[in-house]
Amino acid sequence: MGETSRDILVEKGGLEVVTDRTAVLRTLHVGSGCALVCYDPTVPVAGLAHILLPRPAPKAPVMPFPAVYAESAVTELLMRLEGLGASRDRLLVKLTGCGGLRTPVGPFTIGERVELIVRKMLWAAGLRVHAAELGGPRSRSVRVAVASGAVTITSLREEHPL
Amino acid sequence: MSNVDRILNSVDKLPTLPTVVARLCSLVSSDVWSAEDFEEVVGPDPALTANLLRFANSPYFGLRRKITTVRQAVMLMGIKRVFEIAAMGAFSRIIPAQLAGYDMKAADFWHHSVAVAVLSERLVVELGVKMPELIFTAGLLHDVGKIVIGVFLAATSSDITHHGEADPNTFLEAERVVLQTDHAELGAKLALKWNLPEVVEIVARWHHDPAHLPETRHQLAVDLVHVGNALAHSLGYGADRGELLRTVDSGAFERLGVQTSMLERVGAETFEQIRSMSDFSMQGGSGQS
Repeated sequence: MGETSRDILVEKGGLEVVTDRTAVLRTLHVGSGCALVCYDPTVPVAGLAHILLPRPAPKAPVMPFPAVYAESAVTELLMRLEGLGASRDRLLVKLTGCGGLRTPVGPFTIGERVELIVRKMLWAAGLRVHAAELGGPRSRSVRVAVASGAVTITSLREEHPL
Repeated sequence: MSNVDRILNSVDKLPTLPTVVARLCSLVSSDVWSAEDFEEVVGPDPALTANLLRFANSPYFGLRRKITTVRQAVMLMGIKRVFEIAAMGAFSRIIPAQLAGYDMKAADFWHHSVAVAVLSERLVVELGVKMPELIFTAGLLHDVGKIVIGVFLAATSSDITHHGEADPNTFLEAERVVLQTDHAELGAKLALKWNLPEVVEIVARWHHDPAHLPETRHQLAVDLVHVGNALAHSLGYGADRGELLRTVDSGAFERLGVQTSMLERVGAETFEQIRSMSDFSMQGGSGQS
């Protein structure tokens, strides 16, 4: 109490990893993309990635934004967390996003495909998902308090914890 | 008097596009023009000239050398492209700081508008179809009716009642319940009032309902913006209160032959363009206070 929080905005396709206990990581409008949150309470260190798409097309140029694709986002986020002392054994992993339009049509499966790749990459890294709120016709904004690891979702004018 | 006219007439502070844009529009439609004509129309409006040159020199339009005059812009980019840039420069200056009823700031509205313009144009390349004329402008102005509704709601202190995911209606339907019209109908009226090209009016009117477009001349443009709009919302470019509570017309996807891989490729290839274009535009100070 009494401490002023320092907001750090994570842009689409971006990721941030912080140990500053006064910091709050935020990202806005996660539609069919995915907000991946990893938290090690011992350090403490929190990471947030705003993933946009599942994986690059063959021969696609490398993007200067590490979290545009789920594949590279998971790898980069874990590397940076471990660089700040996080241990995979202690990591709490939370996911939200992967929304879809209210009346989906065939080609609009970006959300499902992002979720698939994120889960696959986490599984390959030996991590399990502790909490998730995925799907639905929602565009979620996400807040992560570094001091506690608490994740808050805002969507459709309501706020609730994950 | 219809409710559409009543709303349009009751809004005193409705932003107006500079008359220069309408004059440029008739110039573009006439097919008899020169770079000098264009410069003559734009020249007396220094703010528009400055904005036009600023946008023309942005990375999106990809020119190798810096443009310093309107005439140069027309010579290098063609009159239609320069009209699109001029319309963009003018539009960026009239967006209200806050869109009442949508919980949307000018920056988010602009971000969404730019995203739909860029995505619609990129879909053309991805699909290998013939570029519909002024598709960028049609995509950019597709939601212009929301400005009318935003100004109207702010002036009357009313709101659009929508109960979120549990509500059987989409946000568009909620607009109809409250206002007996929607932003698509109002947007078309506004485009007409501003003397914008027909394709802009038709896309604004039918971008949520491409299946019911009465005649097919602009079907491709409407379908492209419909898909571009759905993709922009899906990727979270400038979400409003409706979030992803949107209906999508499968017919538009079938007519265009859109596949998942195409949407993902278009999303990836436009990511930096949308980002830089939105940032670039906002540096110029979009949004009226």
